[in-house]
Amino acid sequence: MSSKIKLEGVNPAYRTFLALHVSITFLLIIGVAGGLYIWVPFFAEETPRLILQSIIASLAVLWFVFAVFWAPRRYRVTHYYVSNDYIGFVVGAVWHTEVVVTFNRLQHLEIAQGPLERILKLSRLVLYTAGGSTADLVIPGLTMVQAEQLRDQVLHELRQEELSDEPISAASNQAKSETNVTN
Amino acid sequence: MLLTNETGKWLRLPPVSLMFFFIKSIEQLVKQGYQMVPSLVMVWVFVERIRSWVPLIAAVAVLVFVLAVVLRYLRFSYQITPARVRVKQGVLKRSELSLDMERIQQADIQLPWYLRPFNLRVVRLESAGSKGQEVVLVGLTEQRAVEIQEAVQAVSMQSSRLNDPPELATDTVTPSSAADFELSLPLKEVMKIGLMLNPLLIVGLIVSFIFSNSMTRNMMEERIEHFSGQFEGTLVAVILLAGVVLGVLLLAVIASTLFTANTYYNYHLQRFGQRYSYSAGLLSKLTRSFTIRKLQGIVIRQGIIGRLLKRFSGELAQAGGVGVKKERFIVPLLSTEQKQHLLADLKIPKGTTWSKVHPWAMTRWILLPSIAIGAFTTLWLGFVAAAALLALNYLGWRKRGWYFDSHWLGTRRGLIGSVERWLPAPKMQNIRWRQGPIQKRLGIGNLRIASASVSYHLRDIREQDALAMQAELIELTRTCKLHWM
Repeated sequence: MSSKIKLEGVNPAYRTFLALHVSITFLLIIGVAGGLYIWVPFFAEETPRLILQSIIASLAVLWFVFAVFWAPRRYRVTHYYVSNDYIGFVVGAVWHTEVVVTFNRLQHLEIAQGPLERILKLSRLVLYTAGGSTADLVIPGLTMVQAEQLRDQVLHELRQEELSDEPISAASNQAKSETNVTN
Repeated sequence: MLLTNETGKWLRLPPVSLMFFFIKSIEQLVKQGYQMVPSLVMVWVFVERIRSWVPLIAAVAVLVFVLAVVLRYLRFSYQITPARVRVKQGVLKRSELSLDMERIQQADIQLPWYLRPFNLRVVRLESAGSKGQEVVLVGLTEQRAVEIQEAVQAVSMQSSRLNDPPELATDTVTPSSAADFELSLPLKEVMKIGLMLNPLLIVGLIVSFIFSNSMTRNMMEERIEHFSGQFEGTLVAVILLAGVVLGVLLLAVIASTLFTANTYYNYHLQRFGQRYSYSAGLLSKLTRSFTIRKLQGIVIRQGIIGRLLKRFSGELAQAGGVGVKKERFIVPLLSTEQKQHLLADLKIPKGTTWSKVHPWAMTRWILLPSIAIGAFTTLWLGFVAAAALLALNYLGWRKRGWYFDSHWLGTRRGLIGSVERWLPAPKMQNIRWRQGPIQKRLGIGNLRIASASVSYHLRDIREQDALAMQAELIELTRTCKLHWM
């Protein structure tokens, strides 16, 4: 990434989204574990009460850490940047990741919104290239207006682009080369 | 343009192509239907009343199958215009597929065994892109097949403004003095291809099939117990069993050799202008052509046996990731000299100096497996496992390397053999830089460059190199106004 390019942060509601998202995940895990303990006799008989209590306690601690510390920090280290020809996404402090896609390799782009994001009025801009089967670059935590503006900006740049008919790859134009195995 | 007055008309395939529809339907039935076998067996075993109806049910099923195949054939029609190929097909679910000539990345002409008596061809057109659509036209005359292949290539050349002579006057690639690049494999070499495909792999497949379900596993165990029970000493039984295993291995080698010899018999590869074509095959013949503008990567492989035989295999990769069904453009066998010729023909730099990755890469996959082994067996076995894994990682680390200039990105990895991959640098699709806490301290990280074919993983390379490469790759791709597809 060039140092001249300005990093953009995502919407503050993304912090709430992350906290809610981890909470739902942890509630589901605790719910499944509790359900197994209550309704499947095998687990209740085989698991000592102390082990069960410590499992639930550690899950609760993890939930607290994720919702209270991780979510706000993750929000602070989630950024994206747009230049004339490419778009990038930067995330993570301890495990740092940066993904860049140039506009001339984009296949299609979409704006996606899950139920939780809809409640918080957030959306994601998803960009696809021909590399890989899943999305190549996802920018989460944008308001609908932001996402649409970003999409229109990318599309505008894409429309401006003029491609030459020449291909990138070509074979050697040296004299004829023949190779046959004889040994 | 050689397309005749049939251009633009909706056409049917000749009745002989019913053979193709039958074979394809049977293939599909076997592929999807084998999962039904357990439930059918259960019905047979538990529902006695049905048994007497089985012949009738079978007869009706066969009749429905035949009818469905005939209907599929009757409902298939195609249209070829200079710009695109369109196909209407389907009985209950009708579909119309439109394939732009420009998007076709590979055009094959096949002469399958069942069309040999009629001297008719199969044309297989494959599009680029994530979905990788395919059009198969069966039972065309040789002339018509070549016309279609040439129409595809004409569009491809037109758009690349490369006026190569349309040299493909027949559907066979024959030695020609006008070719820009030639490579042919005599029978002696073709026989080695089967050996290069590791026969242990085939044995592994058979073994995993036997042990994949309890029925075959129990049957095998019973057989072995019964077999060894016939002998007085254990040693005799073990020797005999080893003999049987060796015999199976030998059979697998012979089978794979014969199978690949049939596929690659009389292999001949050549290049005219910007187009590579090869033809090969004994029972069924195939002519495949590939335009270099569609190239998304080059792979050169050498397995254990390949190393012993001093031979490599190669592939000109197209768009479509791993797991996407595609007909691959393969060069099944290359001597060291031929490999260099092919790479030079593709303009890959000579005498590559591979940059090494950081020694930290050797520490991966050691700690957890060793602890697990130590915990489940004895402590010293854990240490032995750690030492063995470290030795293996060292061997792997020695082979690992990367190369980058403004035209090509190359990676190499391997243990005893090696895999070399090359990507035309500006064809990069996206780039990801990732760094964990330990890597940050060591000043290293992982760079993943995705192409339209496979991803290139450069793990544990110096941060400085990685960021410079990232910046240059973005710059190259961003400023590249040429066609990557």
